[in-house]
Amino acid sequence: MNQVLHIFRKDLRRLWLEIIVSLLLLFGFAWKMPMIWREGPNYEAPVWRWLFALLGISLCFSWWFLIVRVIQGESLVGDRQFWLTRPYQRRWLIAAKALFIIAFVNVPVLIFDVALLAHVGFSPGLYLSGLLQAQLLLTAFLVVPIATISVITESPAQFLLFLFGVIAYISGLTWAVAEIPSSSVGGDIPSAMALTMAAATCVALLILQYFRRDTLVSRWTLLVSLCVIAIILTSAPYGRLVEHAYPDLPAGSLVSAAVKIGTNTSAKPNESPVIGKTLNVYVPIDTTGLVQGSLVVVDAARLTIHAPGGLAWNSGWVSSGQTLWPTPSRFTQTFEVNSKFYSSVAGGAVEMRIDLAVSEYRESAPQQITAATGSFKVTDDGICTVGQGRYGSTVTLRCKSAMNEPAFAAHLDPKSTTCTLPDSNWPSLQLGRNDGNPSAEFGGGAGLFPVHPFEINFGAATNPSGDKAISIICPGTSFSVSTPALFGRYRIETEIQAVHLGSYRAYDF
Amino acid sequence: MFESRGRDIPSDPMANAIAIENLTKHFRHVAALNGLNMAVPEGSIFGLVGPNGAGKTTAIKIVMNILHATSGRAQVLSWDSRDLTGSAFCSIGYVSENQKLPEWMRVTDFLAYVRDFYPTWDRELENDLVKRFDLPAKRKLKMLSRGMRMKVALASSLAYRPRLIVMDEPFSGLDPLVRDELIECLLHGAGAATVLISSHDLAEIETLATHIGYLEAGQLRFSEELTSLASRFRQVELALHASPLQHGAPPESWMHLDVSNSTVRFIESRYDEGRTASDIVQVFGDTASATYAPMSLRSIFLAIARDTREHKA
Repeated sequence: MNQVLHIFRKDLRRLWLEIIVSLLLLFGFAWKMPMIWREGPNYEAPVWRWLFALLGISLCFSWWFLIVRVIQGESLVGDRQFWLTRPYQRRWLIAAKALFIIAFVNVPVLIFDVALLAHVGFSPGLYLSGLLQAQLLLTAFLVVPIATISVITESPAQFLLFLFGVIAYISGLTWAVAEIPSSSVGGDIPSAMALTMAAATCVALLILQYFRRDTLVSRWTLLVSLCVIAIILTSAPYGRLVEHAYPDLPAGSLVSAAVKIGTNTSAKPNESPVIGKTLNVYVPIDTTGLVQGSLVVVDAARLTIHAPGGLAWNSGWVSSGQTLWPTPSRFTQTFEVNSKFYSSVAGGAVEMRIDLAVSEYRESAPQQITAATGSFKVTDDGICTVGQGRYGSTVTLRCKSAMNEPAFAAHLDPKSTTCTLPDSNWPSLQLGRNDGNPSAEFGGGAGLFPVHPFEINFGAATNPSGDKAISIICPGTSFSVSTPALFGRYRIETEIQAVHLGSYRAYDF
Repeated sequence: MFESRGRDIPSDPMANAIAIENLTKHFRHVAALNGLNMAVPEGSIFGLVGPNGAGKTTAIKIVMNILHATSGRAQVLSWDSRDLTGSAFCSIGYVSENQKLPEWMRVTDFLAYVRDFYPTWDRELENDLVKRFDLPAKRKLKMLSRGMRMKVALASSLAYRPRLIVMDEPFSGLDPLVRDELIECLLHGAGAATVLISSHDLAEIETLATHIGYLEAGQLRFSEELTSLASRFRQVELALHASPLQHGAPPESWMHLDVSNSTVRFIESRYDEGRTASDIVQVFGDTASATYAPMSLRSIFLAIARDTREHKA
């Protein structure tokens, strides 16, 4: 144990300047952090936002440099280092390096998180698990990868070269995976496998280098691991994984009858020449009949087109993210259609089929909230103020949450407003709701952002006699908030016969 | 020329500080070591010599567990070299010509830093070595000359009184004064420790080694006590009565046989007064005179190296 402190003190003496720079950058980052919560008249000048982004990048860079320098202080690559033939206990060496990183990366970030939570008005003691989770994310996605490359490279310059190789690999792999149909949706299991593989490789390399110090074997291990990850991600049956994750909706479900493809009868078919390899078609989808107290998130959609003569094409699963509410509504889903296929079927009628992979949520634990002057609490997770929407015409609650962005379903009955309305005939208001993403059950941002700003929008509230926005939430106005709980994941389908594809095609600008 | 070092070397031939068996090391397709067998007796100062690329540094790095052998094994004190880590290095000092020291440290900081790793560290010896080497305590290592850095490395490897000191080309690129200082301090600080030292500087090796090993092409050509080596090599010059028209086949122990007119010169690598004289008579008959001059280590080394090259050719 003495050896741990001895090596730690040596590293502290050596890297004091890097430590101070890193702490100053973190302090600056914490100091300017509140500006990203501000909107409207308090919106910071772009130059400040740009400087803030630069500060964040510099902070990450300073951590990178600190971790690389401290690990490569006793470099594990090469055969000329003096420490190799000194009585270093390898387990104490690795412990000393870990202690240094915890002391000058993890602990400062923890202090930063706690300070920001307290500054906003959250009690840090209530968010210990979130704080711990943020530390784990910071360690898993920043410290461990940097440490892993540091133990198989000899200097920061060699590290950067290696890093460029890794970035090139990731870019190439991302591009290759993006070319695979449905990969943007069905990647949960392959991604989890790839992440597990990457994490196991990092741990294996750290152990291998610190206890065996065989750089050649370590680098080969990394190369093989990267190949395996590439194989996992490029050969995964994404389409089948989506279908497995979203089974057919049980017969008789309320959701099944609620969705159908809207007809674009009023739209004039777009007959302009086709340019490019793909073109966009916009498919309107009508939803009705969802049970009260439920909401459905369309996670993905797939368009299949059948044309006379046996011609068929499908888009694969594409991400959607649309939220459906019990009130009847229409949303538009965009698909990229292969231009050659489009040209071959554009002249005639086709059959379109849409599959939707949806998550259904049921609202639970409803609470009645009364707006107060200034900030007020919305459940335990949010501190909100009333404000105007980004475009002036929406009624918005600006909120901040601790550690993770919470999922809310909020309802506002305009009749309960305590605001003085300018026109007694106004409003012919509709039921308000939020557009929060109920699937954001976990969104903590790697310890860098302990406070998450988010908005609850209640839709337009415009004075019919003019476009001036008006408030309908004033101190004393009540609205209800509930937590959406996952009810189930399903796949639902709808189709439409004999339509002209050109009616759904977007105009090129 | 070859003097006794006044060392008490155990008579037990099994008492070896280092024992290497069938060590091979391949760097891709190049064999740096090719079945090396070598023993460094405990208490000896063992000079490992050989031409460039012979495998001296590779052998030492495997012994120190800095490199991994392709096959074979090495025993260092009581450890298998592959297990040599952590506290095992409390008994071993290692100094190499191209060792990377923490250059950001001052001399005193460096000595203070390494001091805490060794329970047997001798502060008096450290102070003595600092004084003898005239080390600038407050200067950073990166500001030191090569010679000074070697002195710091040596001081930090002697101050805990290791049982084994391994030095890889410690004199390379140093001026004669610094070499002398290093040797003097090594002999002063090493005490009864076993020393393995690889060097091209044969004159320096000659002044301090008790044993010598000659490594070539990854194999040990010979290994023996320096006094024994010195006694078996002689530069022989014969004056014949007449220029020989033909002569008998020389024994294998003769190297670089040169016959010009009535003068014959060669190097005898297994000198024994009676046997060598008898061999000469068998090859050349009676001679007018014969001189047997002792050879320096450098001359022996050059003779062997040239002989090897001639055989290869």
